[in-house]
Amino acid sequence: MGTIINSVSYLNMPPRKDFLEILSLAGKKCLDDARLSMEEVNVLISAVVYNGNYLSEPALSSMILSSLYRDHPSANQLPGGSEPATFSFDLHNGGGGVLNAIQVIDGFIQSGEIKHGLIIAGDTPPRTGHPTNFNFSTTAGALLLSENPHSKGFVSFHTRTFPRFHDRMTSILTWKNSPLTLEISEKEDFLNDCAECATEAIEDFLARENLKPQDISLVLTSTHPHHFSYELGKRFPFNKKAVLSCLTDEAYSAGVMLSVQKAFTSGKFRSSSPVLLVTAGAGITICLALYMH
Amino acid sequence: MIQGCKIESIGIKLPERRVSTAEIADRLKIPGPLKLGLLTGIDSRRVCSEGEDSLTHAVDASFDCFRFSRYRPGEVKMVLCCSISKYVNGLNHQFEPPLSFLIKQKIGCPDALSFDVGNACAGMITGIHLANNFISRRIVENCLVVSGEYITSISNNAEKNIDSPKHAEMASLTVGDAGAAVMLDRSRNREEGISISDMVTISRYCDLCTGNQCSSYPGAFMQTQMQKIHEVSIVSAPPLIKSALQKAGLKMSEIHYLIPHQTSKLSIESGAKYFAHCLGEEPRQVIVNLEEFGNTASTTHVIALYKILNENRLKKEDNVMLLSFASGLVIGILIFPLGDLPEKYGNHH
Repeated sequence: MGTIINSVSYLNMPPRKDFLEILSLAGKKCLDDARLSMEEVNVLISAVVYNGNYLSEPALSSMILSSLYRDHPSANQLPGGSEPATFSFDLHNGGGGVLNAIQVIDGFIQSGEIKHGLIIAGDTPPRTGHPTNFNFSTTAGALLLSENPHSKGFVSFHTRTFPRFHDRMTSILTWKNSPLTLEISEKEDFLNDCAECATEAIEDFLARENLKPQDISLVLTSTHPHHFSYELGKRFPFNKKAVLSCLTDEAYSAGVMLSVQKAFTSGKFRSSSPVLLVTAGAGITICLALYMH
Repeated sequence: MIQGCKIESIGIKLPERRVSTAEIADRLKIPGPLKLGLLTGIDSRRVCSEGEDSLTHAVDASFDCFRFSRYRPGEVKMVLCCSISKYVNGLNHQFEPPLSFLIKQKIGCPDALSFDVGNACAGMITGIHLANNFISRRIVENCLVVSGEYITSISNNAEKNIDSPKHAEMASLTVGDAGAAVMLDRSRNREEGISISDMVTISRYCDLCTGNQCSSYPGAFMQTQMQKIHEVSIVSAPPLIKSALQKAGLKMSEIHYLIPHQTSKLSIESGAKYFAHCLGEEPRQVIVNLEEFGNTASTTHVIALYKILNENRLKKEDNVMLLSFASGLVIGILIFPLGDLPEKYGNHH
């Protein structure tokens, strides 16, 4: 039984008041493309990092779920004692949250507990407080994962942290310099360090999987830090043109969804196997996933 | 799933400082007496002092957990941080690197797979739900599910705003600070492991309790429709409990300890009464520990379990049900036999 990417969507929109609506739009588009309704999805995970209003509870995922069920008020409740269809929660690991969420959903699919899982990611500038170095625009993405007996899909995952670079990217919300400030700090070397860490992590991962760099037909990366895909392609001996270039620094948590969407649209995703997904984030944390058709 | 997963050990952290409900009630700008302690069943709660925060609580609870665990910190393979509050160095909300990353550095398992899980007060139950899957499928050998809650800022901020007993921030006055940690690993067989781990989100009730970071004062604020969220939680739970019991092959009367989310004594008692009415049976005992600790958000179940484990009254055959109600609306049910846990905590029956 394989866990496949059934569909993917990505939206880059001007900041609007209702970020929740944008996230839901991404989810809805993803479901529509797969011709699936929300009722058929068993798990929804939000990997959003910056939600615009520093929501702590409920989990943002439950609000996205509510929005996706808006057109079906009878759904997701307990009529006559039957169980609601969907379970939701948030998963946060900065730039790598989406790949961790894929691993979680793959686990539920492999154990036969679910058939479909939806991941939503995206970020928007904060509406209150004074952000420093917040360089992400309002983006949202969705990835629908489904069971498929005829395809391998995701075959392996690996997450590795490099604590010696823990100070390269930090982000805190603080009241110490009144007014409220969201302080994001990214050191100059962050890109180089991410590329170096990713190179080390990929070497280990491919060795574990008995693969050579030349075996990888397509590499899809997070879009943050800016030029990450380019820098990784320069350092690691992948095949020429294996690394899909995504030179945008606007997307954050949904960046890897943008890469997947570009590969889907161009037809590269379907014609490539194995596909390596790579994200880099604060920590430095490198998340890797291997996908085969 | 091929293998089972069990709770191997648990640990907690309770700050030393106590604040009584009477002190809080006295500070409110409400005319006339407010019997807050009587209404909630909370006499006092623990509150962070200087140098304590979400991170220190999570780390301290983890080290307490290691006292009872066969694993050393360096042997931990996965760390899930499930706190609602993410305060570090006082009231600084940590976005990145995530709290789980900081926790694994502090406790000394830098190579563990880690990420943060957010599901309001159902965070730790959600973390256990995920760990159960990872361990049962042999992706990891063990997992530390941990939470550090520094949530009393919502109570402090509510005090400034509350002007009537029906104010939307009244529920904020019930909270207390705490840390909790659960170590999970493989069970030798399915019988000694987690019998059932069921989670659902009834999202049409997602706006009944919301909490955000506060723009005016340090910390957060929370608004709750107390009566409504209690009603929908209680009415929604019985079919889920019934289904979970069926899957576990148990009757409610075979549950020795039901540990519900600790909100208020009246809510827990009326909920238990309603469940007994719907299911036709009662658990042997419903645990309420609000008196000393208040509502400690995602850590409540583990704090309550730890307390009864240390009262030397548990047996290895006893079945426990953790019943979680959280903003969202999330309902989580975890059923497991205690197995080796009582012996580890000095219960020799």
